[in-house]
Amino acid sequence: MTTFLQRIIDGFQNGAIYSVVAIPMVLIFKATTLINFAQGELAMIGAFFGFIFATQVFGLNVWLAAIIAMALAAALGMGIERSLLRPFDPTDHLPVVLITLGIFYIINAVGGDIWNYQAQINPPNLLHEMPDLGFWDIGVWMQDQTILFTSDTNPLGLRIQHDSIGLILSLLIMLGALYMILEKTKMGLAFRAVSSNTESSRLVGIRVGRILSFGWALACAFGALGAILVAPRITLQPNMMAPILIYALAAAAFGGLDNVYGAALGGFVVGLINSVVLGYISDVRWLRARLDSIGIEDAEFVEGLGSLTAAPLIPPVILLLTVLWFRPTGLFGTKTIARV
Amino acid sequence: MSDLMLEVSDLKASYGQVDVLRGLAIEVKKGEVCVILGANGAGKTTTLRSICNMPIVNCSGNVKFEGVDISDEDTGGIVGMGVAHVPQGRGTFPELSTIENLQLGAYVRTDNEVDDDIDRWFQMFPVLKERKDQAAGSLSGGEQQMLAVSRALMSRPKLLLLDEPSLGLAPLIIEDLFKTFEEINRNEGTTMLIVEQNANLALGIADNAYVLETGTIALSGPAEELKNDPAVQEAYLGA
Repeated sequence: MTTFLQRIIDGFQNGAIYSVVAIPMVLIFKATTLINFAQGELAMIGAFFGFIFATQVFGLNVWLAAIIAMALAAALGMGIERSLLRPFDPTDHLPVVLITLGIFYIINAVGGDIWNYQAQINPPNLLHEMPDLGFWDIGVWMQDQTILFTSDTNPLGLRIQHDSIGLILSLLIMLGALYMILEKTKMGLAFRAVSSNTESSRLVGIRVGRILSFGWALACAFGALGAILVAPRITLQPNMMAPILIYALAAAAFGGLDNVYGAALGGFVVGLINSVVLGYISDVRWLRARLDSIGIEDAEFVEGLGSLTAAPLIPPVILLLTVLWFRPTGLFGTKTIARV
Repeated sequence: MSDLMLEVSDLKASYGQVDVLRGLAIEVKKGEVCVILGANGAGKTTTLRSICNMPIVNCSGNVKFEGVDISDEDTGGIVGMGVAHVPQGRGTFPELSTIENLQLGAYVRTDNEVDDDIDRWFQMFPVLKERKDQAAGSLSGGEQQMLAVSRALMSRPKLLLLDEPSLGLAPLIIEDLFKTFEEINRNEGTTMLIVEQNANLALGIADNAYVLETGTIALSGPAEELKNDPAVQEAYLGA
């Protein structure tokens, strides 16, 4: 029971990481109806921007560095949209998706050339630099690696790290900010209008190109912030986002590719499924006991199953296929209604 | 100062090898209701799209709005100058709520009377008020057409372009809708250019009319005259 609950908790922690990549992906899908394969790499570059400003060159305050990184990432996103994507017909998906795939490889290669695919030591940790409220020094509390519930204080012995709580809370705050931008501002309304009907958007006087730029800027800024937040946990290096991309894709498809909040939920679902399923499959002893009890005693088969941990992508891919099979628009995605 | 709201001359448009408009000329006077009649494929929709500079494969010609050349202006700019376009098939934002659709209609406006205007169109179309938080895509065809028209009016246009507003609606609803057009034209002074297949109703509220056939104007004149023209009666009024 303890193991199970622990895996649920771990699942939530990982889910937050998948969500921060899935959310920007959904923002871009909403604007352009294309899957931006470069999303993870753009976020990675954003995290490196933050790292450079906070430690390498300027030694700025971590939060200031993060804000500069978000601005730079936003500018980069707008530049990519303007120069590489806008010249192409957005309704012809193949070339545009191939371009994003190209951007993925270029950014990854450039990053690898500069930083040698090596993990950087001590990436800036926003959560550890939280302010001291007097009665509660949040930053110090987050740094406290002792765990919230130790086996002494709770009989189940569950581990929940303080900064995991911080990460999940940050994600919720980011979602709240996105909600305010998308639902409560004129720019956000225009963004949703373009996402809903591009032609009619032109007819009410919206400059569609500018809104697409805005969408890319928003996605890249939030992606950068997310990457800076998760970098201390998954290490800061040029390949940091590559393994997350497929989970994020599954998360986005689960919630509906055009629903930001669905994608956040999808991230947690993918995290949970992964943590629970893989946790048990890789637990050979547990597996053998179960198989024994139903009369399967083939040791080789059990070992084979155990080694499936080498392919941790299986659960998200199965989830992705299942969702696409039964609900192609995801759980909260928009059904395209054709009416004459 | 001329009394022309819209002056279109030598308008040509083609999709690939197919010429849709072949040197079209129309004039719309300030304050009038002008109708373009034509069968399927005559080029009615293309005419309206060219006026607003909506994406068309190939299009050339002169379009003057209140004496100003707008041929090279982009759609956003043209809307800002006071032209509103209700496209064929309504063109609402299906995922957004009714009230958000109306707010978007006022996108080019910077004054603070938007909410007052929304209330005004809610009074004109009370059913929209009932549905104000509902997604536009869940509205019936007639309700969506009302929404599309009030959204266009939210920009306080001088010229309203309506592309086949009767399409796919029940006869009673169409009649109501055209009465509303007449009322808006009378009360607000909004100039209207309506493209229609339903010649009977359209000529009923129009001051002037054009008949479009395969990309050129075949006939034009005051609506009363065209109504009694034998050729029009045979082709469009089913007499």
